[in-house]
Amino acid sequence: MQKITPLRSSLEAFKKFKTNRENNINANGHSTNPFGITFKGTVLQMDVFESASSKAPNVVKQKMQDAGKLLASAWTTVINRFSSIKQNIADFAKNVKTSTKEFIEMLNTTNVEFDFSKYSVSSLAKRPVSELGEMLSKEISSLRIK
Amino acid sequence: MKKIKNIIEALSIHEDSEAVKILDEIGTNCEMDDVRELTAKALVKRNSEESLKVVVANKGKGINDLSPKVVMTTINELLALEDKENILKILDETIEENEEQDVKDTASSIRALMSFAS
Repeated sequence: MQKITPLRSSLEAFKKFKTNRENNINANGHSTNPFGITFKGTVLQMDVFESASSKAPNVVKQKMQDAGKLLASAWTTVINRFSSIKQNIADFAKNVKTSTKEFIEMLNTTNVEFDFSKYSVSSLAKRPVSELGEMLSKEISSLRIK
Repeated sequence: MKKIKNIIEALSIHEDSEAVKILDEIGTNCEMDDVRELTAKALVKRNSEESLKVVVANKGKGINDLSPKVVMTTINELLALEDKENILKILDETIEENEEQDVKDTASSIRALMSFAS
């Protein structure tokens, strides 16, 4: 009977590990996992693991992403405000257009006559005498009624 | 009244001699003193034989008006005329030919006044 020394026990443990490993390799001959270690039957890919050194650039990336989001948010706000202003301007222009149209229609339908130009001496002197006679009679009659 | 004043003033400078007829028929026969006064001024301003005859040789018009205000205004306007040739001619004709003695006497007075004034 051999004496079990720590070296022997570790050698035996290694042999056992080797046997198991070879068995696993034979069972999954196409596997690319060099360690042959499975977690719940799923082979973990190498890129799943992150090194501590890769965390530093991620912070910068995160900051950049945050800044990008902030910028996008600001841009959206600006666009919204611009849209609102644009809408207001469009409404105002529409109102002006409508008012102008109504005013022109009113001018077209209303017979505007200015008394001061109609009864100015220079314009009266250009009218026929008969017309002036009628106007004079009419004005004198209206003065009598008052 | 402003409109009436402008119409009468327009008739005083109108090129058509028919304006005298309108002033004579409508203006001098108006019952309102102000209208008759404006009409007399307009007729004198025209300074034509026809217009001056209206204010000088007609009873109840111009210098023969019943309203002293109209009479005084007409005399003032006649005295203010720069060219007195027409008015002197009409006054002389009225003094010689008019049938109404009152009209003749008034014309004589105005003629004398104009002689002193000139």
